[in-house]
Amino acid sequence: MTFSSSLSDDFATFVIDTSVLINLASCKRGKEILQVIDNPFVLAEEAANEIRFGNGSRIEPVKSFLQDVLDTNLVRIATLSIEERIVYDRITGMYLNLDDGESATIAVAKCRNFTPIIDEKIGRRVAINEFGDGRVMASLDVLAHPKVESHFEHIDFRNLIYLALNVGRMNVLPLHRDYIIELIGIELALKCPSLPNFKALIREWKEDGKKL
Amino acid sequence: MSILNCLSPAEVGRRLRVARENAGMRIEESAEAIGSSLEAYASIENGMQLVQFDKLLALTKLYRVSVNGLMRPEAVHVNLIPRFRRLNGSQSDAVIEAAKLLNYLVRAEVELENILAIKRTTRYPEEKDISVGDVELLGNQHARELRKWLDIGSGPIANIFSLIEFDIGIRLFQRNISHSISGLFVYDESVGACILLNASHSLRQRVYSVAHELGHFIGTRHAPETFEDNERFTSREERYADSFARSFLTPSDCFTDTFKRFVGNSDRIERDHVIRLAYKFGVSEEFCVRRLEELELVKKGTWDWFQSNKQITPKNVLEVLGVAFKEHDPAKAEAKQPISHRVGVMATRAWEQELLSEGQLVELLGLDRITLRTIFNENQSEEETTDDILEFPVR
Repeated sequence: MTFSSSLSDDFATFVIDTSVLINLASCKRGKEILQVIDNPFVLAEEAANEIRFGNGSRIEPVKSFLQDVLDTNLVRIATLSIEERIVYDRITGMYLNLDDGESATIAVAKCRNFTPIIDEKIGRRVAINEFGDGRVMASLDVLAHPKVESHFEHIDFRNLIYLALNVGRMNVLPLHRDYIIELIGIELALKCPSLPNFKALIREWKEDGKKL
Repeated sequence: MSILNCLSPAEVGRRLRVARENAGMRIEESAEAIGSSLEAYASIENGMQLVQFDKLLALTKLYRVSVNGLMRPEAVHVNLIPRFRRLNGSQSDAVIEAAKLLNYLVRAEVELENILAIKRTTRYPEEKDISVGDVELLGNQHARELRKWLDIGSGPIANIFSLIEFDIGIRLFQRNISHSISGLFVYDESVGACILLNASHSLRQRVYSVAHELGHFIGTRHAPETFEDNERFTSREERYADSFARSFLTPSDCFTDTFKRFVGNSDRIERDHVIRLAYKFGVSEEFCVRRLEELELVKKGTWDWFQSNKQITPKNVLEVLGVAFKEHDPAKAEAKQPISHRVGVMATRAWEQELLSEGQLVELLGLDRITLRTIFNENQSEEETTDDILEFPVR
């Protein structure tokens, strides 16, 4: 089974949400991935602030990664313009269950005609409302991009997907689950509880007599 | 529609004031940050004028809160921290940190309960007047009255934490805070009574601390309270809470009877008596002997004698109690987790039902996303196990 990444436009600029940055940091090869894909990546200031000022023990490596990719210009910060602030105000008012980072990501993508990359289900639904289904991407579109897959040895490619899942607890769409399991194997998939319907999956495997 | 239209100007102003106070900022600093005069900014906080969106953005950056966290209608905004700041003039950093933690815990729990429509049952006894009379006697009397009101008799209390949390409905949190603080108590009309205990203290220390804070709930409910380790009870309120705690945990009649049964026909108190009596009532050996001294069942200075002769050590206690020495203390283990199990389950449900996003919960719970996702993964529902038998009966 192969994964067909939707990030096929060589000229698009991608605006990533906080989750994407966390997954890139967690997979340990984030900088290489951004270099290999070669499209411009931007992060809304509101999304960056969640990481910069965030609490919690596991945020520190992500803070360092953010600083590193900003210093090396692999990711640029997007500050909301006047026009974007108007869109941002509308989105925050319309969708009260969106966080600031997601609202700003959508506002930037909307006003600058960038491609939004969002994993969170509420954020994705709002973005799909704003852009249509085909234009909203997810972390896996970045991590499993054809250029990334061909750049890395298979074992390294498999490992970076596994680390994004195991360390970063990457959210993936249900339709991508089987691809991931085939790529990393059952043994590693068992260590990735963020896979969709993970508990049910384990139960199915047990019922099927798979050795867990 | 602007998010500013979701609330009245008065509520926007109130929330901005709470956010400013929680950030420890003066009104002058806020006015300057948005380029307004003091009067113009004051009129925003007073609800006379609605803040402009650009200025709202500047203020949220200044206070390090999100626009959504500040403005979404169901967000809970309580100002517990400034109350502790005002307490006795200035407070130590440790107290302010503990107050911030309590504020976080309360906000998160209340907002999650509200959003999931979980009704919290409270059964508060009436507040007592302690302005007149001997506070030691009042503490004793009110402790007896509360036991009667709760219908728990006069014996040892099996689990005072459950009693306070479930029978009375006080919000009780046990987290690791600065060792110098035993507990915090605060009452707020919108969220009710809240107690934060120091989970790094021993179980028996916490039993006393929570009884002490319960005394404040009964006698001085509307004044926030910080209970510091090795505190000397000099004020009227503190002497009341201490007297209340002693009488509530060890009612004189029952405690005396139990002591007499334990010592039998012995003519002197022994180490084993103290250890067993303390264990029976779930209090520390020091508390136990000092209570016996107070009730004149042993001579004054008995505890000091035990101390100076190293008669009661953890090793002695282990020898006397055996396996019972290792008391069940789930709160200590839970305090090592980033959030309580209950809050973790509520957060997961709110996320699964798309009532709150991951980013909103990150801010609400003060966690990073990876930790939050780990909590989601641990608590996620098994969507496929939907046998009818597991559904709740229709009410």
